[in-house]
Amino acid sequence: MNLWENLRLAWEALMSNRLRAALTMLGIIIGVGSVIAIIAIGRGTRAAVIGEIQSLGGNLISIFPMQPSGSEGRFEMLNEDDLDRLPLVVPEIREVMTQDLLRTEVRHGAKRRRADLVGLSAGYAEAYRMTISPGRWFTREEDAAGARVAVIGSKVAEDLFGSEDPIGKAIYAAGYPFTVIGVVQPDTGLLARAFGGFGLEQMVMAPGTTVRRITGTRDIFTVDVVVKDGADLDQVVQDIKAYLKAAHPNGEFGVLSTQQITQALSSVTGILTGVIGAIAAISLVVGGVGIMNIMLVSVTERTREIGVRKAIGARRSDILWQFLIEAVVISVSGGLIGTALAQVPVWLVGRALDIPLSITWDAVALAVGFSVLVGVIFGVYPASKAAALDPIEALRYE
Amino acid sequence: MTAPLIRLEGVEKVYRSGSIAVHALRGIDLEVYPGEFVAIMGPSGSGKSTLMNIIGCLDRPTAGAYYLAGRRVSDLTEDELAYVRNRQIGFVFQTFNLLPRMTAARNVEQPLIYAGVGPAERRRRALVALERVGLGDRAHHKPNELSGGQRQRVAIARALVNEPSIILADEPTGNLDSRSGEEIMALLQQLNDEGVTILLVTHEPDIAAHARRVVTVRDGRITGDRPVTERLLAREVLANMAPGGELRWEDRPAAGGEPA
Repeated sequence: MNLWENLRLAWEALMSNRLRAALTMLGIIIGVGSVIAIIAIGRGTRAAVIGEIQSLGGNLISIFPMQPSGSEGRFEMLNEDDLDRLPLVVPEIREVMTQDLLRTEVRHGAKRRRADLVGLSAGYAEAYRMTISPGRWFTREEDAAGARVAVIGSKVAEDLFGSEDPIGKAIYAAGYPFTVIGVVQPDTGLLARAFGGFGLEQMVMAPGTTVRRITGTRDIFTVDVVVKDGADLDQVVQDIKAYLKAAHPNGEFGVLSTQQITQALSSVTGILTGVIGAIAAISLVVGGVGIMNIMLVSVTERTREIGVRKAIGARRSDILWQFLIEAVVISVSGGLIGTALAQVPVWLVGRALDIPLSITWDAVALAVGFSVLVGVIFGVYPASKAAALDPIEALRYE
Repeated sequence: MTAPLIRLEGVEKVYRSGSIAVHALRGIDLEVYPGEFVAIMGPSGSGKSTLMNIIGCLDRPTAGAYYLAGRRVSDLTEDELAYVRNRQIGFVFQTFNLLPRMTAARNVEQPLIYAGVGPAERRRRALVALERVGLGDRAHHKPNELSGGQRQRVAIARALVNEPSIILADEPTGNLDSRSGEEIMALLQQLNDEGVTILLVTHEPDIAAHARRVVTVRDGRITGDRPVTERLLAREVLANMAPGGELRWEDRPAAGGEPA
């Protein structure tokens, strides 16, 4: 076999019927293009989401109440005692933070709106990378003392104050007066945009102690635990579960580390990418059938040529290679064009989500390898049909 | 005396379609010596095409033996026959059978590709062959830019390029007007004068008369084998044919055209 000569013949054959070649390639272009784009977008968004979760604190563990299985009792909540005991029982815990939520109404002067009054520990501003401007976040001392201070979301500030500076002004939440000390700007992270936002800009945030005093309960909605650096997260999760079982025998709690959330998210996006990719790969098969169809037509049209080639000394294998390589050239050209065109959706999605997306070399190698495979699989039958032609019959063919 | 280039001994060919057996050849004995110019004549259905296919190693006899240049080729495998066709035989067809997408030079190069000759040497030998048939200046034209006579010259160059033992020409003038046909015969006579062995299949006595020996086939048997007594010399025929200033038929596009 003369590879170079066969490539040249294949190129000449394609160039002699460009429209047909382009239409034949279309299936492969779409197939390879969509597979590559999906892989790139899937990988890129997953990396961005995971990166963002990890930036929230790689060693955070959330504890939240769940419906006890097999009972109709109400959720058993964590309470303030647990906050004191947890760091003692599990020494790897550096800080315990709480989240409480109260759906209520906020008011400033005559302006009022509904908002969530969220009681938080002082550590959250840092853990969630909140942007506070103007003003400041509350201190640990204010939290411990149950100070009536509030950090309001930018949207709440706009609704209640308009263009007025809210810092130092009073608002009423759930009927209690609070002094506004800061304004939280909307979250700009990918997660916030992808899932509609945590809605920080719609909240009124106050020290957890203060909020629990208002609600008159010692129960806590959610606890986030910051683990000391270097601690074994899985072990800490086990220890926390053991403590909860002892302290709340009737309760049911979810204990999730950021690591577990990342893993779960990662496997979900992985499966999603795989499934969509597989659906896209079906179009590669359709494209392959298109190639086979055109190659069969081409073999029939070029029966005479095959006869002549055999008469001047081509062996079966020479003809087989010629047509096989032509099929592979079609599919690989389609694969390369598809790879090139995949840059467009990848760039658009990357720009829309504001995350870095790129087509990696292994994806390109996979696509090209796949298109060679498609070309060979769907080219073998037409090529062997051509190779098996009887030279006398072929020369006589009109 | 030199050894025969082609020796057929009792060659038979039977085609079977279902229960019917067609005896295309019923025992052919034939010897062709180097440098001969033999015309095989016969009406259609006489078996001359089958004979041509067997001599051209495109087909194998059902019985009998065929020796080409001293080698028994009647029972070679398909790939071995391809090798023999490539090295020993040059085909010239009625419909030229050039590859339409390629220039004349590339067409002529094709047999050398299967012979494993490198690109530079291929190109050189193709140009020499085109020069030999008088088409040195048309090397980079595609078949549809050439007249019928020129196309057949390209086909002859392709047949010559691998320096075969024999050229098999199957009705080479069948698709040409009489002037172009005569020019092709002049070229074949010239090549024969230079020592090329030529086997010509035709049903036209006027064309056969350009050969040195005519073998007549009928009903699968050789019914006549005689030297040509009044040989037509194409050069002379051409001289008597065209008074100066007449329309040059050679420049007309070929009837029938190239196969797609």
